[in-house]
Amino acid sequence: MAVNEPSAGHADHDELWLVAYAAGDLPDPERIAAEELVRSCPDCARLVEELRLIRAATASLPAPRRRRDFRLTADDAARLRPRGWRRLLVPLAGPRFAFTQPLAAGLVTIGIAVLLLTTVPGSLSESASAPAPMAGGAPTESAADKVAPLAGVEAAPSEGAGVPSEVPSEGPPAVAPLGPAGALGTAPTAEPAPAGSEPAPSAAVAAPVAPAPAPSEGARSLTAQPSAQEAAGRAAEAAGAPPLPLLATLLLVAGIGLFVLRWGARRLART
Amino acid sequence: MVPDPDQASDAVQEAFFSAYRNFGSFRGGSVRSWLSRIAINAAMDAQRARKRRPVQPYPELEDEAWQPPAGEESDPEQVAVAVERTRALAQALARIGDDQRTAIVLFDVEGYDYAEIADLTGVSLGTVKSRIHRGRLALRALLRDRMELFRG
Repeated sequence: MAVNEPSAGHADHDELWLVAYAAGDLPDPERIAAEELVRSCPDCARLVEELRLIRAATASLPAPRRRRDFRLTADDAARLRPRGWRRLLVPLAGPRFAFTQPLAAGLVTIGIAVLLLTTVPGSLSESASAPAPMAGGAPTESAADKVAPLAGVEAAPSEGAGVPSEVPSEGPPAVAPLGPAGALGTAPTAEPAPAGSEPAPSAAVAAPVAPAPAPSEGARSLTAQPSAQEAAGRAAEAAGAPPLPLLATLLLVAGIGLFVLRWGARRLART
Repeated sequence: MVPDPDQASDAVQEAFFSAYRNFGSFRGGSVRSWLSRIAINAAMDAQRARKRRPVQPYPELEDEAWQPPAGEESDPEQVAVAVERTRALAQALARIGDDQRTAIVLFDVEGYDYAEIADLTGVSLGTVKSRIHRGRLALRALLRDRMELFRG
């Protein structure tokens, strides 16, 4: 820029600087300096004038003749606009919904992983799914609590039944939880003991018969009670937090659904 | 931007084909500027192809493509000067550098501003300005002896 002194010859003047001036691209201080130069140097004035003439000519050049108008008319737009359910689906194909693909992949992955961990039996499922041991632990404890009173109840009738003789009444309650077979097995061995006393045989006969139904009921309740407890536990889980496998299945279905929606939308958008 | 109308048509076709193929890479934003970028790239490719395989366009077709709008002046001399000026300018534009011509046509003919041209052609604002300025200087050097056409 130092060469742009009006005193220097035109050959030393910066023509590009003058182009910028002619185009109006110079900041104010430089513009004023350029104006000064143009006033003092006739060649510079001519250059600026010719640049402006050429600029005006290029600006008024007819736009190259378009052989085809690619703009859409209102009719085209109406014809191309998707209708009905396609209208709902097609926006999904747009770049704004590009995130659905990684999201769907993530949902499906998490769904499959959780489903595998919770449904495959073994320590993996118990250690992996934190709420499962809690849910499983509570019912078994309460089942044990329930079993104990039941055993007490069981013992009470058998004691009541075995009131005439002390020995048989003691035997069956002890083996009651083992099942009717044990009760029946102990009763005959107990029979020879009270054989000496007269009323004993009848009581002994009554004793094995009476306790027998009780242990069998107890045994049934022993096996039935935990499953009922589990069902109750599941019901409680369903009421509170949904169980993990159900949640995983939902995630899986949602992920696959997203995939299908996006894929379908892209296919639609392509036609 | 592409002086030969047939090659320009080819470039437009190439641009639309390229846009269709690469629709998946469209990342939102303005469709107009995305499509313009593709078209400008296609035009630049056409220029490179023209350099490799020079063609001789039919002169009469070329003249037809650059007809100025008629009607404003019925004076035959004025019309003749306007036609000649347009022809001279078109020839000069065809002889300057591709980058300079692209920038000048986008700015003067298509009416984009510097920032838009920088975005469309993928260069900096300073480069756009420099290309336009150098292009204008080159045009002036080419048209120096014919300036009487522009003074009417």
